[in-house]
Amino acid sequence: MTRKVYLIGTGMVPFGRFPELSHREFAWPAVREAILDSGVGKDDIDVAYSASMLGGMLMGQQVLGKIGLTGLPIINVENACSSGSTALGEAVSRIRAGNADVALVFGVEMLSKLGGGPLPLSTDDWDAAHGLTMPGVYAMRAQRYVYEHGISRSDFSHVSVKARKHGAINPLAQMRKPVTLEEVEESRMIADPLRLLHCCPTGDGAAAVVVASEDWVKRAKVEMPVEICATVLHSGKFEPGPSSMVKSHVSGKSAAEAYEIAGLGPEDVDVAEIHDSFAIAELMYYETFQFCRPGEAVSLLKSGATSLGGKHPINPSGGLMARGHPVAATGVAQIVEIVRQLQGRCGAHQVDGARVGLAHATGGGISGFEHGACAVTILKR
Amino acid sequence: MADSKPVAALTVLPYLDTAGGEVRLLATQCDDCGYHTFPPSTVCPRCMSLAVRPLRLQGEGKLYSYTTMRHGGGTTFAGYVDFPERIRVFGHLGGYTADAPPVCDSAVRIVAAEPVEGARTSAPVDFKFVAVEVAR
Repeated sequence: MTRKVYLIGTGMVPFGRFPELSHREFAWPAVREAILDSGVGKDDIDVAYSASMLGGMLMGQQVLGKIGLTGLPIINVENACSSGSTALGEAVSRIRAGNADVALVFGVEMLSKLGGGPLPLSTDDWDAAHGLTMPGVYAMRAQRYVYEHGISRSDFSHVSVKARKHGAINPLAQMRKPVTLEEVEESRMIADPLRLLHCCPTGDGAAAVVVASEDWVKRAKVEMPVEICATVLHSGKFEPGPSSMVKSHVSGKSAAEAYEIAGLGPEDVDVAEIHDSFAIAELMYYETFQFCRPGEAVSLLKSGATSLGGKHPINPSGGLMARGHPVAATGVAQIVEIVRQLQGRCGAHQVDGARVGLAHATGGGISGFEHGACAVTILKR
Repeated sequence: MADSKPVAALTVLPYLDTAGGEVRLLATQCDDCGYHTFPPSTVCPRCMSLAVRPLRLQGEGKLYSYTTMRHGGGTTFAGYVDFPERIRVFGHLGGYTADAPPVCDSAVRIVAAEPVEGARTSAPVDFKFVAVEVAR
């Protein structure tokens, strides 16, 4: 029987733009907070995983050197938007296999250092070399979704309004000002039909968690451990021919597998953080996770069920659109949010009585792939 | 002072055939498993066979989806075009305006594209897709 694995500590810095700070100066407070929150000593940590996409060589050593957590195996991970959740999955695997009892996982990204604009994609890539950007990819998803489901363009503006409403009461969110439907629809066009306020902001973030084996949790008498019921990772499938841009195959496959491993279904999920990098994404993923049937995402959103106070709050943190989307930090930030929700520590944006949570990080723009990678994690208290 | 970095070609094989004044995209067909891929490749992405050869795509395809993006000093439409050979290609779209935008699932054909001043794409945009004229 495989060993159970638990989240026992979380740390996160407020997301925003801090170009005057180095990665190491920016990220260490999140790591320190997670370690102190977990109650483990530095010497108890068997292995550390660091996720970063654009920060450069040896990010784990850069940050952990600041707090003297060195000498242990430090594993640096890159998997685009799923970097942080990939790192978590690897830590969980190592613990399940009995090769570690306590692992630290953190993610950091500082997009403010790029100046602005969309994420730089590889110029070796056909689509990117011809000018395609991530907003462009999601704009094409949106265009096709509008075409297939006959929704109005203003329908996905409601996602932005909800995200900002949630972000306004999350002290760790990058975007803390609510917006109106009119402001969303009057914001400047980025990639038709997506406007500026349909897109996640570029910014900086760092988040960290400590995970431990069941043996450790019992031995150390950890208070409020949160069980990792399932964490699943898939790469997208290379497909040079036609495929749907509005039904995510890799997210659907990862979700189905995670539900099966956890022995839970969409109806059991009390709170979810899903990959709303652009407004259309949230609608697509409602369907992928079977929170509603295909074509019914707009009705679900407008019913208020996915807003705070609704029956199934989605992205109570504000999600990528308001909390922010510093690429490799996102997967870990989602886990921090879900763990704190399940522990009842989220204050103004707490989902009352949440017992089961789901996190979903997917992405990576690469020609011929629907998404580069996708990770789904289900947590339970 | 030469300070230019080496730039790799997007493919090591030609992707455009302009012989005889017609413009066609060149994909790859695998002789062992029959799979098609684009951009052209010296190895089959399904069976890893090296027995591959150029596949000249038909001139017409169907526009799957589209968006706008900055190009040179202005904005262009661009999108994914699905060819009958089960190949999807991202390219720029010509001849459309905000008042007459592209339409999903409409027929488009490939034509040569002239260089655009101030273009910031890392690859040359040497072809584009335009609407297939409705039967006269």
